Amino acid sequence: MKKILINGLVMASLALGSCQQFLDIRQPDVTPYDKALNDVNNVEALMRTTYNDLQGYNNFVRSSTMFGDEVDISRQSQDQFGADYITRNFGRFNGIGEGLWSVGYSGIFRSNQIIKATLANEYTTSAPIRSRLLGEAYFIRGYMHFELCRQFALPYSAGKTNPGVVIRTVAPAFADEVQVVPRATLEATYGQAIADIKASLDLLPETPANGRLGKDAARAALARIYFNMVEDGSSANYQEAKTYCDQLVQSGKYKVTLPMNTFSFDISRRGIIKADTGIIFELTNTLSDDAGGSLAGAFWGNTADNVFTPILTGSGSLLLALRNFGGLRYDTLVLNRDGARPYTAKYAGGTGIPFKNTPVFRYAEVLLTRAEANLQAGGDVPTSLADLNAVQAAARAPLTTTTDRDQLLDAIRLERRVELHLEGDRYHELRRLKSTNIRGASYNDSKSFFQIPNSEQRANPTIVLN
Amino acid sequence: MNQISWQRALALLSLLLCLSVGAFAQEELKIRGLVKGGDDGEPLVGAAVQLVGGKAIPTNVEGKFELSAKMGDVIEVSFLGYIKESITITGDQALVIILAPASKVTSEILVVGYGTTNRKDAVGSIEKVSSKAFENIAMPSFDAGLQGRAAGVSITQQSGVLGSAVKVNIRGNNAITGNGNPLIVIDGMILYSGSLGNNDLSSRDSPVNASNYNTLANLDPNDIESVDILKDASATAIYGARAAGGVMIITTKSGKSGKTKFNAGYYAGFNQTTRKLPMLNGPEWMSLYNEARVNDGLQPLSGNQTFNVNGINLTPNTIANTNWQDEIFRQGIVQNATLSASGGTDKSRFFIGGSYRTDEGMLQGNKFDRFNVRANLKNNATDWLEIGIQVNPAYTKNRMVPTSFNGGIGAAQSNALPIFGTRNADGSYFGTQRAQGYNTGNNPLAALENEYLSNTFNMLGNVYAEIKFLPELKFRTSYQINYTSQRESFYTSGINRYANFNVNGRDTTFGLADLKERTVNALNWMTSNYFTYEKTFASVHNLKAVAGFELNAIDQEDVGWFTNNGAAGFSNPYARRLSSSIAWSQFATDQQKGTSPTTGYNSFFLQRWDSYFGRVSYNYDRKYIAEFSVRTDGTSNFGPDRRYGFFWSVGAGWNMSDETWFSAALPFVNLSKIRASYGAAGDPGAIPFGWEATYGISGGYQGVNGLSLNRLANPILQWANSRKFDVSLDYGLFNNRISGTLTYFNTVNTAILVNRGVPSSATGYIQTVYLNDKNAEVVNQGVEFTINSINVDMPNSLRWSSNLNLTFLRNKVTNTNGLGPDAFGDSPGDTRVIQGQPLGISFLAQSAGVDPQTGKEMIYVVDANGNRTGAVVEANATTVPENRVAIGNPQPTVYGGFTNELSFKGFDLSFLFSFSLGNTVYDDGGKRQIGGFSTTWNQRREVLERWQKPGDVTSVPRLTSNTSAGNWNNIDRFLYDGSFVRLKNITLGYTIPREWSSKMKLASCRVFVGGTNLLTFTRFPGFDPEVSRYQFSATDGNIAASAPYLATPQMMTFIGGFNIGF
Repeated sequence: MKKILINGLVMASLALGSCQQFLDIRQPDVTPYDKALNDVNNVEALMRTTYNDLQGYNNFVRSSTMFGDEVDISRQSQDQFGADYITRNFGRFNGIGEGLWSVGYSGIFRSNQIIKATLANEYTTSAPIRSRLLGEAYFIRGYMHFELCRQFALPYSAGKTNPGVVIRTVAPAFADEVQVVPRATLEATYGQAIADIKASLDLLPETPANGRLGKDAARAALARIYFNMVEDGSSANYQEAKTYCDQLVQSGKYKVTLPMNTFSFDISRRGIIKADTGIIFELTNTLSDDAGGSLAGAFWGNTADNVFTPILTGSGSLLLALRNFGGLRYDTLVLNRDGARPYTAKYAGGTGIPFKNTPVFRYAEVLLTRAEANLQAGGDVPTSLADLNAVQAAARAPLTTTTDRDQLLDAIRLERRVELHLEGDRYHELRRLKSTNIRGASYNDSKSFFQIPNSEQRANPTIVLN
Repeated sequence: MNQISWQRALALLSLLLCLSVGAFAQEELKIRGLVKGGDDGEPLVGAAVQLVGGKAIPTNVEGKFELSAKMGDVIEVSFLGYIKESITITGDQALVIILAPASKVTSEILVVGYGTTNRKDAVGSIEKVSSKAFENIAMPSFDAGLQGRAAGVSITQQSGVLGSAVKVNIRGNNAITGNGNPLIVIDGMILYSGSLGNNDLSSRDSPVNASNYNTLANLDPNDIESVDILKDASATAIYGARAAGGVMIITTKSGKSGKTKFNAGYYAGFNQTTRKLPMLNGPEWMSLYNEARVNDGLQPLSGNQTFNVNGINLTPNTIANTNWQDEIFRQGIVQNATLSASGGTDKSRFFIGGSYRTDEGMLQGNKFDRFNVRANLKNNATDWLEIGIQVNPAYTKNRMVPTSFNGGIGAAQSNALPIFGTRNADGSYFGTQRAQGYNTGNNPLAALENEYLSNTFNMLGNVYAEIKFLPELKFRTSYQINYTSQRESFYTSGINRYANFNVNGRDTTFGLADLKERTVNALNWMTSNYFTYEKTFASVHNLKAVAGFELNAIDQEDVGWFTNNGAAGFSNPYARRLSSSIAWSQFATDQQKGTSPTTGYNSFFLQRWDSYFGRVSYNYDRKYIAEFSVRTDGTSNFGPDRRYGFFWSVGAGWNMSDETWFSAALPFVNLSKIRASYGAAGDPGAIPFGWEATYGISGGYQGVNGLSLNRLANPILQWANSRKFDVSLDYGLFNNRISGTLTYFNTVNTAILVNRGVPSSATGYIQTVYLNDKNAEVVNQGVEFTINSINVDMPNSLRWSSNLNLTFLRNKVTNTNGLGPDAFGDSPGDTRVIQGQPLGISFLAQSAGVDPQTGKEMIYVVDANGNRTGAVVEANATTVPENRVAIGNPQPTVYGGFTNELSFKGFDLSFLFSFSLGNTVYDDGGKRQIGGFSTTWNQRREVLERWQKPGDVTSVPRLTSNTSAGNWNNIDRFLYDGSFVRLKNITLGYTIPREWSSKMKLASCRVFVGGTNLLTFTRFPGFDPEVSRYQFSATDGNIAASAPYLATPQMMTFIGGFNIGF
């Protein structure tokens, strides 16, 4: 009996041991990286997360507004990093800059993963879906490079040989594949953005699903980028901008509508054809996106006591421009107009709609870009005036009648300020036009935008600081 | 079936031999004897009685034996822990043999990995802390009781929050991202070294508690027989890959054969805070607020002018004057009752016990109850088979309170301003949404309406069998499970919850109570199987060998749900625990009402271990000792190519005092032993599957979730390596009245596991890679010194003994592969990993004081090497990061403890001072408490010394309400000397004389009073120098512990109680 017992115990315990398979367990809730992108459904899911990064556009808009002269930033809620917009003492640890840098490069990183998997044919799908996924990835990669330049580098107008941001076109998968890459010049970075978006123009569908990128978004993006690429003594980029605007105008798909909060709608109305709206591309938000600090959170308080960022008042202010030239944009979008803290209803949405979409490209911007680009490139006055008047008319604002090129140019810029207020445009306009007084800072002052954040600096010794 | 075992046959044979010898012998005497212990006079059961040259027989359950001997024969009586006695038979047939207890200095039994050894034969550095350190001391958990007891072991209870984590550090910090904690082994069961309690809801939805919980708090300290702390390679290498941080082996009590003994103990007392932080009162705060306004170019507030601070509208005429610390601190009652019984026969021994503890803590709302049951049973089924079981179910109920940034005592020193009242005139809480339509975080009393419960059931079970094949060969197999089920239920009162609704075009605020719950089930099972061979050859060659293997698996699953957002909750306030009664409020939007008001989630944690180990110990005549141990560990933490790691150690010792020439030369030296060891242990890191890149569910678009890569793959990820060198001298002088150890140790950690920064432009949110840093090294070297002395030893009168242990530690990151200070992450409180500095060094700008002209805080400008250029500049977000230097020392240069035990007649007194010297503490909340920005937090009283007018020379800058004026910067003004000496505990007891207690039919009776943390000597001006920062990751624990943020101080506890045996 003893023998049986001993042998049994020893054998049983020894039998338990020495099995390597024992260690072969996998995480039950994730997919290994080398398998994940073999399935187009997973690539689509990765693309949704890439769009999630693109939704960070909210914060690019907010930050551009904080840099500029539209709102009273001293009245924003007390926030340590937000306060840096006032003093312009941007350090490497500024959390807002860190967030923008991360979200921008996250979109780029994920786009690179999709581009890599698609080009290597890691998954199989139909040609149109493959083309769309590749197009979306190229677009987001290119557009993020452009937006990052606008937050972390001097404007193109200050000289295209100045440092832009780091260009990233490969997706490392292994820890030892990460490369240290220095900042490229503005010219190279903008060049990358344009090349990517041009590539996406060939790939994206003409009629995208709601809230997804299509060819028109690529055209609008190219117009915006070229419009920002101011070069002394050359109007070639204005001509490029005009070309893409022309394509959008000539399509006849869009018209100007106002006020803005009537066209920003919620996801429950997905599928509505926007041909009758002024939207070329918007990011559709959900409840959680809204709660996460969308534009509504940045600019729209619930009551006059609770306004995060009131519109600046006084001479030369946005409020004055809206009052004199805004038409409906003053009447319906500015609340508490004569109070101490006027604020915007631009992102308020309609009653009962708790979350708002984020417009990225609007037709009004295209018309105004074309109006100015046309003049800058030596085009005729009537074309520009017609574009300007179209925007003004929709807003029931006084129509400009001048035929003087300089006066018309001023009128277009004024209209742009009014029409695109709080959409992140104004600050970049001031920089494009080489303003030496962007809330006291000059367009070529490296203190007027973010420092390269710590998450880059600490691991990239090649970084040239702003 | 043959019922007669071969041992029995052998016994029969020897009996026959004896008889045959006896036939020729002269007159046989029948000897009856009783063996007693000299320490307590109790009979010794199982003592070996041996006629020289004959077979040993054990004493029976009454300590008695019987044998036959001749005149002039010699019998030897021996028992573990007592000095062997030889008696010559002189005709006395009824012997009473009293064995003197052996000096611990040489004979103390040490528990090592997969076996035991004793002081004399040991090569490793092992500290033994016996049950005395834990019994009847108002410690919340046993590990806190280790503080100051063992050289080289640094213990920090995170805070005075009940059940808060205890940071144990053996010989310095060896890990960066890895798990710096020691391995904990209870009766052979290796506990999962991560913390279940960390994984609470703090990372989800809204953070609740800023405190880490101690999973060992469910172990009753009174169940512990001893804790053996393994420090060097020789002792730890057999635990291989998990032993870089050292090992703590906990042995629970077991019964002794003999009469069943009962032991009942009870104590009760109260807790209170060790300190209150001097803060401003309401009127002072108000006047400083006005001063900041004036400094900012605003008018001071008039009496009836409404102002809004922290979301609450007030006027200077209606401010309150509340001392929030008085509101939050209390005297909490603690009670602890234990009852145990132990005993057994020569075949079976048992220890069974139960205990109940209820502890209210010093913080309002905090409560910790522990229900604990234990049964330890052993049975010698046959003389070749021992079987046993240890079972310990325990249930803890922890009512948690928010601290630090989450509120409670954290709010009481920050955003709960003294100008805020506690209640409104109608009795409702001041500052809650019902009253003000806004944030509720400013009223810590209102927050107590919430209920955060964490109830944990923990079951430790261990069953084993030990087979003796031959007298020298044993096989032991054990199977152990540790099952933990933790249920957390977080109820938030409607008072503290608000949501904005659009009701008929008007914004309306409304609050519904809500609930979130989580259940964790964790099963950790293990089996170890090993052979032990022990034999003496030629009476001088002592050999002991162990070889075996072990399997271990940890499966943890979390399941939980939470209420989606403020628009959902309990519409019926009476159904506050029922998840099905959570619904959308009437004001929720149609879209919301179309979705579920709650969301469920689950998550997993899996780990597997496959291990093989062995050890050979040899000594020659117990004089020259050599030891060699190995272990191979495989773990699922690493990729298929790097799963197995090899760990080893070599050690040698020399009992010099056993040499005749030595004892002749230095007769007063009883023990002089030199030993040394070298070897490697490992650290598997704290991240399961850390080598593997995976895609997991992530934020999506248009309401459909997405997928994202969680990290970059690193298939060559493997163990961090910890090379430990140790050389020690054990000494015992003057009949061992003075004894101790002097040790030099040097631990070099290589291939350290780190999360190293990568340029975020390459990978977006994946901003680090998890790897073994090829060149990075962390070195801990130091000297440990202990001296135990018996200062006075008067028989039956005064006895005074003391123990002093000192550890001189130098921790240094010797190489970071050329990477800069921020490369390993910006840990909280600006603590860093910097080459040439201790781990977790503060990296701060240096305050140059306040400019007497402007009142602005100035800092020194430094060059690229960190040297001051002589210039000073105003502190702001741009200048501070550019002028940081490594400064201070997060780890003490000397720490230790000083214990004294005195007894006189029936009285006994013991007290322990623990101390930590030479370390700095970065008070991370200081920048907002005395930084000069005064408008959202209460301020420490030092702020009254602020700069007010040109010419003022002070360290506190000009007050302002402007956040951007250079405040909130981490500068060395808030880095303090954190040295302290603390009277950790003191106990005075009286044992009623035996004559009296026996009249009461009691075997013993002792009454005692005691206290914990009664006195503290420190220059630290913050709340408490002896706290560590809350941790959200293992890295935080390794790096940022010395930078507490809105700390909770330690508790002071007074208790009184009794212990009776019957």
